[in-house]
Amino acid sequence: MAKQHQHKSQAAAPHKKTSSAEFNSFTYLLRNFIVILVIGFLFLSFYKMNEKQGQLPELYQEFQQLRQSGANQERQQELYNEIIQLQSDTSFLKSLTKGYYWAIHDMALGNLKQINEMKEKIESGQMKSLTLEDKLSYKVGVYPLLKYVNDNTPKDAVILLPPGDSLLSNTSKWNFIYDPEWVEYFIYPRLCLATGREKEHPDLLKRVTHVLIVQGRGYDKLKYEVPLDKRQPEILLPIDHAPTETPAK
Amino acid sequence: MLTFGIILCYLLGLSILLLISRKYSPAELLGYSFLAGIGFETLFMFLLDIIGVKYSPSVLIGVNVFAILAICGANYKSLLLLKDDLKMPTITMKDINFVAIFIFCILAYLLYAVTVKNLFWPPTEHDTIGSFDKLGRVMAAEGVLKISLYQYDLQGAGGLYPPLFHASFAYVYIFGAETPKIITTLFFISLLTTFYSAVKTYVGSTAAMLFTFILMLSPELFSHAALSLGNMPTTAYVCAGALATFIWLDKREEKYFWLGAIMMAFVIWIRTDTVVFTAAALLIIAIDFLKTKDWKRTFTYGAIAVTPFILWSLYLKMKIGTSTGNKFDLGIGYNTERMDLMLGYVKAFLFGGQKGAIDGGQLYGLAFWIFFLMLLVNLILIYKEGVKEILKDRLNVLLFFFVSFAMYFVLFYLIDEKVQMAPISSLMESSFKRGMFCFIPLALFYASTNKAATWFWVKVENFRNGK
Repeated sequence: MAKQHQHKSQAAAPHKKTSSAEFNSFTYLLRNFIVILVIGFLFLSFYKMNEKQGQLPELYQEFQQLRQSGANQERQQELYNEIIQLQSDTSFLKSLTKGYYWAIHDMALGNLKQINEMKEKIESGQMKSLTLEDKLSYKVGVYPLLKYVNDNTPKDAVILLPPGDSLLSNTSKWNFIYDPEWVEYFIYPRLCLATGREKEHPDLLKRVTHVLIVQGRGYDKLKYEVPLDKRQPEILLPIDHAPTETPAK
Repeated sequence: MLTFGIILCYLLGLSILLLISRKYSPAELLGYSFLAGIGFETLFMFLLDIIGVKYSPSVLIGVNVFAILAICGANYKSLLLLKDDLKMPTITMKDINFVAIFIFCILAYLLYAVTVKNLFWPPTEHDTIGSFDKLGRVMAAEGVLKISLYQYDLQGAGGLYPPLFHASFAYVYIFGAETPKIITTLFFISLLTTFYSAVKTYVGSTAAMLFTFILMLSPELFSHAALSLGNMPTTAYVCAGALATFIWLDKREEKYFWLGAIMMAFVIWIRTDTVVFTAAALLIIAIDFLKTKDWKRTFTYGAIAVTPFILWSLYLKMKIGTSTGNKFDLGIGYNTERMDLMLGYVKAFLFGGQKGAIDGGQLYGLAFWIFFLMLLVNLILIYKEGVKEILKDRLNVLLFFFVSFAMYFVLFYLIDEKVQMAPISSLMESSFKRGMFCFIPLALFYASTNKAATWFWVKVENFRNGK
């Protein structure tokens, strides 16, 4: 235990015993540099080791493009062999360190590069400045539809959402448009109710003012008939009366 | 206005820290100030809700200024002595650790890169849209904790969690933030700085910076530095609370006792399923009590750490009208199939490898491997140093790690899939996976400060210093 205490105190204040007379700046710098080299070497080794693996998505994308176009058979074969080789490489150290490559190369530097490119385009006038709404539209595909809901309903509106069956939930196109907890974020202070869960909230059901129709589903919830030839696949309609003029899609 | 709100939060945390002690490293000040500050901000918001005062910038500024002045007033004698502690040290070449600076530069650049990403994009993750960010925004808009959405079950799953995380979002919204993502960055910086300061206490700057770098780059954790989910902030509190408690038990420095207890209280003020860490902390404190027989300390720590759990349970029951206790199937018994499935996932998480959609190595990198490797090395050292020496070495850390992990496992084993509306495999691949973050700083703390590692880092430091 005494030994351990000695170790600890040495580690915490390792330089205390070196007097300034003995101190040699050059040797000190050199020794620090050697430790940096060792750490840097290890760091780069892990990075390089996974560099090829990190290119797998890009190689796969190139392969798919060539395959679809049917062009350059030789390159296709080359890419195929490379992908197979990379996928079959399951060495232990690589499997434990490939995440670091992804974190540095893709998560940090890749995103930084992408954002800097966007900022450069904005500064050079090639692209307009992005507002919060633009960014939401970029990341959440269904955001323009939800913005349309906000723009066309009063703040006390209650929206009946489309049913969350496989037609909507199996595609990322509609995000979570059927999930009231998710939709509420975008339409607050308006409220929403999920089709199929009406019985859980009879008070809210009574207050429904609009039906959000997606992929042509929800017309049966309206208290009036909409002729088949006038039905639009995506639209927001009042529940109890036909709109005086058809709202924009 | 937002900057002012954040400065107020740091000042509140700083005043609490200075009430505890005057001696902190810069890393401790940076990390603990925010964690304590935002924790107490959300506690104030909770109390304001109880007494029926609506949140607004002026109310929060008033509460903050009053609290900071009251704390500083109560502590003025100690604060007067601060100027003696703040003498600029003379720095010579041999005081500069070039290795640590080198690692810090890479770390800072990568932190900058992930922060740019974090602050550029608004929150879009399902859980934050459906719950945390929504709760924060609506809390700020309505000025109350029990927002109107509870009436229609539109609050989302996070509505049953204690308020620290979403109230921290509300706090920045009240001060004019467009998105709450600055909170993510501040939590991430706090996680790194508290971890660094704790490791540095034992093995110096080189090892502390290297292991902080490894912690930061744990791939899945790093990705959460650009998201708005509660798992990384929870990890920040578990790291700060547990590590301060370990240092208190080891070095008996008063400040770590209070930091450990307060941070542990916030561990349960951010999520209730983190009760496993509170229980593990209480266990090591109880074992310490058997040695010290110090009733006062044991009781104080326990009371501080457990109070938020009681407060939130009462609030849920009396004001929200629900409880968190109905999601478990306590009569499940021993289910071989479920156990095998869960153990398969745990194996992938801890030792790498594939299970379902999980690739353990991709998620946590080397973190748990280094931990188990160091554990093995120390077991081998038993031959050299003797059983007693090795068993004493970071026993609290090991106990905390394994007890909390076992309880965390049991918690998931008992989850009722029907109530959660998700199969156990899906829960393991989402919730369990993200909860594993909390164990990374614990594992890396042990890996960097155990007996064998300390020996190694002394050698490295001696070489670096030319001894």
